[in-house]
Amino acid sequence: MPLEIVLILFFGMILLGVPISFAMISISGVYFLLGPVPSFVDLLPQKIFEGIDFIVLTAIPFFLLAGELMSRSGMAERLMHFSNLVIGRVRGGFAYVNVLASLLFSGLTGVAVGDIAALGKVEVTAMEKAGYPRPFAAAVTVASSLVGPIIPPSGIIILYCAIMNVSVGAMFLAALIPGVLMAVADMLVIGSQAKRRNFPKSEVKRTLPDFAIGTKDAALALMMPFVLIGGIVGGIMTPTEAAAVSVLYALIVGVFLYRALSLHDVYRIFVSSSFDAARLLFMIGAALTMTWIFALEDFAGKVSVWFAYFEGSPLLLILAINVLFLILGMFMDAALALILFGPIVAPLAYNVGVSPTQLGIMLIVNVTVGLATPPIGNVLFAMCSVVKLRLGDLIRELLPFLAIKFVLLVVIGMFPFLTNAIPSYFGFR
Amino acid sequence: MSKALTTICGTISVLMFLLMLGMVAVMNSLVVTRYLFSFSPSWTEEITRYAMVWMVMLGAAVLALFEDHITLYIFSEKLSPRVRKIMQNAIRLLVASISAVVAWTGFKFAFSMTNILAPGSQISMTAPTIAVPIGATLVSLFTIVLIWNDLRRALRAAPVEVPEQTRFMDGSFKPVDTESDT
Repeated sequence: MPLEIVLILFFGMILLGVPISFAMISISGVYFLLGPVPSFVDLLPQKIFEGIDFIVLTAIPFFLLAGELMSRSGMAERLMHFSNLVIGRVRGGFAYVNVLASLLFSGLTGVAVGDIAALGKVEVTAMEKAGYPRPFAAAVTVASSLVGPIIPPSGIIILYCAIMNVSVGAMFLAALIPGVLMAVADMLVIGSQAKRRNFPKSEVKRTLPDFAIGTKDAALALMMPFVLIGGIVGGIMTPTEAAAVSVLYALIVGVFLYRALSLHDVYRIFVSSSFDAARLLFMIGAALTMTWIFALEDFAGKVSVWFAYFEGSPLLLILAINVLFLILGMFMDAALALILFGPIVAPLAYNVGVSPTQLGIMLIVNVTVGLATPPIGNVLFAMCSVVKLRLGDLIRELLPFLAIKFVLLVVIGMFPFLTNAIPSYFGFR
Repeated sequence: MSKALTTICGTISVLMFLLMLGMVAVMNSLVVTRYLFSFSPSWTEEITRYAMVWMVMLGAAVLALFEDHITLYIFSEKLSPRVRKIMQNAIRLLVASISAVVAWTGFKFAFSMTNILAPGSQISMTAPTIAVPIGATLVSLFTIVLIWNDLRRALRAAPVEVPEQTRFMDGSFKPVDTESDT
C-alpha cells in the first residue's frame, strides 16, 4: 500500500470520527496484511508496547496529576488574586490579570485545556462582572491558556523530547523566553484595545498587608516550577523523578498546608488523572505503529524532496515548516502532529542549522496555537462549552491574539537566541 | 451483565489508582534513597514503566466502553441521527475487530516472552507485555456490548445497562452535545 493511500486513509478515517488511536492501529494492520510480509501484523502489539514503555513518558501522567491536584486545591484562584494585586489597577486590569494568572498557573500544569478547566469560568465570569464583553473575556482566556503547554512543566515538551531524543532540561529552559513572550504578546493586544474600548480598571485594595498575604498564598505555587526546573537542570533529578516529586509537593500543599483536599478527593483525582493519561498515552503507543510505516516508506526522504525547493534559504524553509505544522495543527491533535511529523521535518531543519531545541519550541508553539484555531481547536470548544458562547463570536475576538502569535512564531524561527540563550547559559549545547 | 460491567470498571479504577500511587511512590523513594543511601536499584525505573503500560491499557479499555478516546467530532456532528448511528456502529465494528487482532497477536507475543527476563527486576517479560492483549480484549468486548445494545434498541428490546462514566472519573474528552446514549 503506497504512502499516499496510507495518509488519505488516515485523514479520511479521523474525519469520519474513528477514534484516532484505533484509526492508526487499523491502518497499520491493513498495511501489513496487504504488504509483502503479512506476518508483520504480529508485531503490532509489540509496537504499541514499545510506544508506551518509555521512562520519559511517565512524566506525563505525573504532571497531569500534579496540575490537577494543584488546581483542585484552589491554587488557580490564589494565583488570580495575586495577579490582581500586581497588575489589576491599570486600564484593562482584569484582562492583564487573566494573562498573568495563566502564565503563573502554567508553571503548575502542562496542558492548555487544564488551564481552561481550572481558571476559565472564574476568569470569564469575573471579567464579565467587571464590565468586559463575554466574547472578549473568553478570547483573552483562550489566548492566555496557550502558555500552559509551553512553560514547564509541559507534557508536550516531555513528549517531544521522548520522540526526538532531545534533553528535557534544555527544552524546559528554551521554553521560558518564548513562553513569556506569548504572554507579553497577549498583553500587547489587550493594551491596544483597552483605551479604545474603555475597559475598566480593577478595584483591588492594595495595602502592604494585603499584598503580603496575597504573595504568601501564591508563593507555594510560584515555587514549584523553580524546584522542578532547578532539580532537572541542576542534575539532581531526572525529569521523571522531578515530575513525581511535583506530585508529592502538590499533595502536601493540597492536603496538609491548604487542607483543601480530602482523601476521597485525592483518590478521585488520582483515578481521573490516570484515565486522562491513559487516553493520551494510548494514542502515543498507537502512533508508533504509524511512524513505523512512515519509516518503512521513507516518508522523511520523500518530504525532503518536496522541500528541496527551499534548500537555499533557511528562512523560507522555516516558514514552510511552520505553515505545514499550522495546517496540521488545525486538523490534528497537537501531540499527534508532533509524533507523526516532527521526526519527518527534523532532518531538514537541522540541515539548515536550526538547533533541536529551537525547532522543538517552534513546533510546540505552532501546534499549541493550533489548539485555538478552527475547525478543530480543543481549547475553543472547551471554552465555548464552559461559558456558553457561540464559536463565531469567540473567534472574531480571538483573531488579533492569534495573529500576533503567528508573528511570534516567525520571530522564534528567525532569532535562534530566543530559544538557545538560556540553555546554552546553563551549558546545554 | 450490567453488574459485571460496573464491577470490571470499578476494579480497573482501583487498579489505576494503585498503579499511579505506586509509580509516584517508587519514583519519589528513588530520589530519597539515592541521596541518603547512594542506593538506586535498577528495577525502579523498569517497574514504573511497566506499571504505566498496565495503567494505559486498562484505562484504554474503560475509555472504550465510554467511547471517550480522542476523536474528531466535527463531521459526525453534522450527520442526521440515523446516518450517525449507522456510522457509529461501523466504527465500533472496526474498533472491535482491530482490537481482537491486537489481542490475538498480543497474547502470542506476550507468551513468546515467557523465558525472557527484564534486566533490572528479573521478572518474566510476559508480565508487562500481556497488558497490551488484555487491554485490547477488554476494548473488543466492551465495544461489542455497545453494538449489541444498539441492536437490542433497534429491536425494541432492553439494552444492557452501561454504568455512568462520571461514577468512575471526572472529565471527559467528549464534547457536551454529542454525549452518546449508551
